[in-house]
Amino acid sequence: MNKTVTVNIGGSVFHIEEHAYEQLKQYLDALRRQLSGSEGRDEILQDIESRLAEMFNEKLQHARQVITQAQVSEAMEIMGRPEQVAGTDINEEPGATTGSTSSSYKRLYRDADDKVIGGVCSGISHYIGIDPVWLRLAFAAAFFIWGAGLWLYIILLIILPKARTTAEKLEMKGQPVTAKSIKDTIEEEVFDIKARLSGEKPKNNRSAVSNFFDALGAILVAGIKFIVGFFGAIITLVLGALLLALFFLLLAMAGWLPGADVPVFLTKYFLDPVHLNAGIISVGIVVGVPLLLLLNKLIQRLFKTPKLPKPVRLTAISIWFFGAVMASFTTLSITREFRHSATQKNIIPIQQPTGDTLDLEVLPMEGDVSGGIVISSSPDFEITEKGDSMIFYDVKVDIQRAAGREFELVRICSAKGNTGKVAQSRISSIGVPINQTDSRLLLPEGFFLPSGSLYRGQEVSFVLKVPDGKSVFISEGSEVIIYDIKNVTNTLDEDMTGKTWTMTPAGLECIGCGLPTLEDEDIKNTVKEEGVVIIDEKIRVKVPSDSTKREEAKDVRIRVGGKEIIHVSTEE
Amino acid sequence: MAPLNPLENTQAQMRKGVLEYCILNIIAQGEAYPSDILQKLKEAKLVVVEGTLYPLLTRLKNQSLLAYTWKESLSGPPRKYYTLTDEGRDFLEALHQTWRELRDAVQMTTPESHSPSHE
Repeated sequence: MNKTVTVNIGGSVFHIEEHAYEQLKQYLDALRRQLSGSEGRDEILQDIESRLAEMFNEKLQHARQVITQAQVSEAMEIMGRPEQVAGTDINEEPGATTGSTSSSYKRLYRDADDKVIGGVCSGISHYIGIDPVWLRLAFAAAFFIWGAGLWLYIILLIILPKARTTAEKLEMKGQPVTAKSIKDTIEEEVFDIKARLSGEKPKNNRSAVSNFFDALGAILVAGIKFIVGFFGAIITLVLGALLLALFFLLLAMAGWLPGADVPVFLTKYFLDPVHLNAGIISVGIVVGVPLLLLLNKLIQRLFKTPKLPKPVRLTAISIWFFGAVMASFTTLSITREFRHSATQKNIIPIQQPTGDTLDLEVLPMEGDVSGGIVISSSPDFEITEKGDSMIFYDVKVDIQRAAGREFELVRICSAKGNTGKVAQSRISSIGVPINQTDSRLLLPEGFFLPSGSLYRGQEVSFVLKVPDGKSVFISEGSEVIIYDIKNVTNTLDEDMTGKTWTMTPAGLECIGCGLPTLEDEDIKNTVKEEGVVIIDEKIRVKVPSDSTKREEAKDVRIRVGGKEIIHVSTEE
Repeated sequence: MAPLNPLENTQAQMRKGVLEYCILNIIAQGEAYPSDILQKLKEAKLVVVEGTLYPLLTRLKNQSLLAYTWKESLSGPPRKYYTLTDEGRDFLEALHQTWRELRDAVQMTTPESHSPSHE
């Protein structure tokens, strides 16, 4: 067993056995002494060191392998004895001493050698020449401005490259990249390593603040790593499940998954097969590809698996663009289907009722009764499929004032299409059953479309026109079809059923509505004289038929604001 | 340093001049980094130990006959790539002339049986 040492030889890091390190160090020291008379001694030594590094690199199969004494001996043999090396060129004439090529511009890097988190601040500090501690404080302060510091730091962490090579480190500090500077830097590093090995603190003028930040940084990094790892695993799982769900959902929507019907989306009632398939494929690509890449990235981070090869990534991106273009075209094509609309108004001949009142009732659709397949039962979009037709439960009934003296029924059908003609033809395929027996008018709760039709905004509505003085009884259950019927009391649709509404020049009015909700006690309290009940507008008065007060309240008059509006006589 | 015996000394002297000439010749063919140069010198059996090359290169560079640029390498730290300067080119031209003269001189002064072969 041998102790190993980590050294920087010619800019590369090596693990070397301690004895081998001593041997190599002696060799290099001997060379230094031998070359002491030479003009470019440091440069020569640096070159030799680089070459040694190259030789070691060739010898070692992988980075973790350790340089042994045998390998050092071999390298020394190839390089030659110090006196041989020096012997070739002893006579030196003083020449130009500076390196003929050097670059001395500054570049922005991250300094991994002096880092708290990622070396961003120290990298910037090299660039602009101020103490990194101030920058760190600035970033920490900026964290409290909506986390700006955090985001900025993360962005910089991603975009700034780390100074890896000695040349880059010199560029970072704005020092000329010459052999001498490289050598000095390396020496400094070797010194640091040696110092660390012997248990000393590296010679580095670090302030207490720096050390505090170091500790804080270490805790932060450990914490963040744990959180990232923990949540990363969860997110990966969720993402994977999401992807799988998306996949099956799309399959089911396309109808490619036998036995799985997805009524929620009703895609087959909206989209023709071409649009459906194009839509499913493009949505699958547009959502699936980024999810897949994200998943891969997470897995790669968590389990340190290799990155996807570039061609695969490029292909994925191309596929995504293809999907996006396809999605746009599909969407455009689908919206075109709704571009033109057509409306058809028909006056439906109805019999005039013998009395003054027409009963409005709902005509139940057969599909409901005789076991059609209920495809959707959401209140906004109800469809039943039965035999060769489908029922769309979407009919609206309005009641308006008739111009003449007769009841009138107007049916309005509308549909949409990519041309007016198509829309028109869609209207003609709408089937609307109506039934009337004497004073009972039965309007349907839905309309028929041939099986396989697409929903293209087909709508059916009725307007029942009521002449002045005549009434409509809106039967219970009609609330499914009546829609926003105007009336003088602003009564809501669902409260309009079960009542008789009379058309007046002012609009629909419920004659019997004001009546009957007060209890006997109330009546007793409000009957002032001779059975006249004076109430205020909001109070409804009910005179129960079995009332003990019946005798007393033979004649009930209701006055609103002094004006008598109701006069109920209980006498036959 | 152990003193060289007279033979070794003469051999070293002869080799030294030729080595310098050869290095300039190699670099004249295009920019090269020390390992390239070493490879060729080893093939030519001019160099036994690699270490001898570096002091020479440094001196030639200090004499402004060579220049180098740092280039990143994929396998490790940046490498020095050497090229001839204009000065170096003139220098090499002069050496070509000197070499021809020397070769003739050697031929003229050497008996037939020991004459170096023309290659």
